[in-house]
Amino acid sequence: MKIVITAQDNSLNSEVDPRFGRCKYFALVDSTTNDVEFIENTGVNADSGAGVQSAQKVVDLQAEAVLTGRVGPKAMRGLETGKVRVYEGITGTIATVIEKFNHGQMGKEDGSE
Amino acid sequence: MGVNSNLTIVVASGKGGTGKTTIATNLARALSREDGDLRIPQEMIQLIDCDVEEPNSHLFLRPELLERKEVYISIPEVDGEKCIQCARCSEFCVYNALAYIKGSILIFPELCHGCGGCSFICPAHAISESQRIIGWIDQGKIGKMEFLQGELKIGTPLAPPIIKQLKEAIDQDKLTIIDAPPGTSCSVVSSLYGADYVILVTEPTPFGLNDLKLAYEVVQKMQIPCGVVINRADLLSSGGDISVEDFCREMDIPILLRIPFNREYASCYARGDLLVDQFPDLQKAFIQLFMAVCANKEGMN
Repeated sequence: MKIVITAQDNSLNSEVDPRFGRCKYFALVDSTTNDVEFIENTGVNADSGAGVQSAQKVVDLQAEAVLTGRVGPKAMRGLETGKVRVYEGITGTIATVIEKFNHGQMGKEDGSE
Repeated sequence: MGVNSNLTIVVASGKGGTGKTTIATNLARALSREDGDLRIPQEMIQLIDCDVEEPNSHLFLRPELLERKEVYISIPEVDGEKCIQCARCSEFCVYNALAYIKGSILIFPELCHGCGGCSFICPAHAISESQRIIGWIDQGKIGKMEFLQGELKIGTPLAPPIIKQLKEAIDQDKLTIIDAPPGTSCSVVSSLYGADYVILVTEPTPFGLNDLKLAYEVVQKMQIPCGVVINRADLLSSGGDISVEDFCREMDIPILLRIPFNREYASCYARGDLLVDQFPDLQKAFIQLFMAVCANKEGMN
């Protein structure tokens, strides 16, 4: 399955970006192969609705889960509609987050489902 | 020196709290005084409070409010039957008020600016418009003087449509005084648009100067003649400086009025009273302010 982790930089050593809407990068992870692709967030300077735009991006990437710091209410509505699982309050590097996720140590997610 | 009694004068400032409302309300009262020197009939004066996030001119002028109108913008509604899921509407909207999520369009009314672009661009004609209330316009009278103010609904940060609608009430035959919002954002530009003259209110502090420069830049770009009122003009000994005066001299901006700092003025303001009602000197000063505006405006033409 594909998951998205918000990242402050485009490397596995980068910290999780605590912001969802205006994160710098989306780390798109294939959790079966562990392939990671870093996608720049073009919505980082959106006039408004950056969270909505990010939610749409995550849905378009066909991710089934998002791991990030905090998701705002409008973005959450988009993610819920797209049936994307949301894990908030995530910290650490992208590599450790992937590791934890693969070992089922993410705890209970917020959001839908 | 001629009196031009059908000007639209906007009272603006970069920095908040410099005295825009004080200048606008006292100017309106000074000019509308029945026993005043200028004898502009009260019914030929309007005051419009365009500071729709926090309208407060009414606290000083205490108008009798006669009518309240709701202000709406159009927000999109998508007909799911007609929608061909092309997502062009969500790509079009820079405010991200529409999102295309798994085959359906989600609408976020609080992000919509009401431009109507999504329904225009929709190839399937699936988008119609519904009305969303964003605020109110109050109309009233102070004696025979006309009073208008806008008020933004909490949670709908969309001032310009209310300001535009407020300004439709401007009667070109009347003398119109507009109390503008602070800053240099869209709502200030909306307030300034179409003005004959701008009074920029500032104070002799580094913040006052910085924000005066920003406001002056906007006014210059909009090509509206302007002059400056320096409030608390003699605060030099307690942290103020003369750089505002220097800037005005350098840029050749007329200083129309200097109001000294005075504890009595501050208490008068704090009681919600008008300075020109309490201090005859200031009544004269505000009439002179208006004469200076007229003279400066005339000199520009």
